[in-house]
Amino acid sequence: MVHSKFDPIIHAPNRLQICALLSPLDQVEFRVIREELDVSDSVLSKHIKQLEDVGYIKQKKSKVNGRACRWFHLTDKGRSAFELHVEELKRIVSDL
Amino acid sequence: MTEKKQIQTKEAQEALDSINEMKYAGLKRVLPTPIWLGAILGILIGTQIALLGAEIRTYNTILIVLIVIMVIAIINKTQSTGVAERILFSKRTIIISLTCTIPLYFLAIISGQYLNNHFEYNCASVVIGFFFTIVIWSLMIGAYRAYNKRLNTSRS
Repeated sequence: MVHSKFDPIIHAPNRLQICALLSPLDQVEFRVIREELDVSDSVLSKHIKQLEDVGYIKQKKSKVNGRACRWFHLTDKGRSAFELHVEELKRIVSDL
Repeated sequence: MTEKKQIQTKEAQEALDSINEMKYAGLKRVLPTPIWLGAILGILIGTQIALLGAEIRTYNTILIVLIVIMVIAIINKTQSTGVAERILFSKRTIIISLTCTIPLYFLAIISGQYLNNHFEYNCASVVIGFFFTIVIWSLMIGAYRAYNKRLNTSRS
């Protein structure tokens, strides 16, 4: 039975932060992720695309007060991969 | 312990710190519905049940409009923050809760009308309405406290 698994796709700092931000929430708007990570739109889009390509996050488009918004959420696969990755990090730290 | 191992451990610790920081930042953005907003919503629904129980329909339309406005305000407030809180209940639990809540609402009105008509107990509908106000307000306070607990856990 696997309790932890290192995931190289998640481990990249920006992608790790994206997953960490999404993990306690249902969905987060693109603008909020950009503000929290303090990166440009293009950098964020690149990381989001990588996570979308492996099926870890999904996006939903909607309009809030007439403004087009992109909302992102972790898929079940992404949540599971993130949790396993966190467990692996904890295991590495506890081996000290 | 090798130097490589120490670097790996340090990197893992930094990654964990970064995860906690982002989780806290995300939760901090979720503004829970203020207690006063929950209290007003509770009072409006309680008043509607009390009035309908007493078979006073004069203000029913106004109350329905006010309740809908309050619900839209709460939803709009959530969307404008750019984050939506994760609902920890399953879809099945939510459907069962709604299926139980809606008949309860009508049961409360019918009970008030029945007690008024058969026992001439005029305060019954007011008591039932007051009970509903307290229940809604308690649920709002419960949600508020649960949010604070999650936020504090994430911070620590």
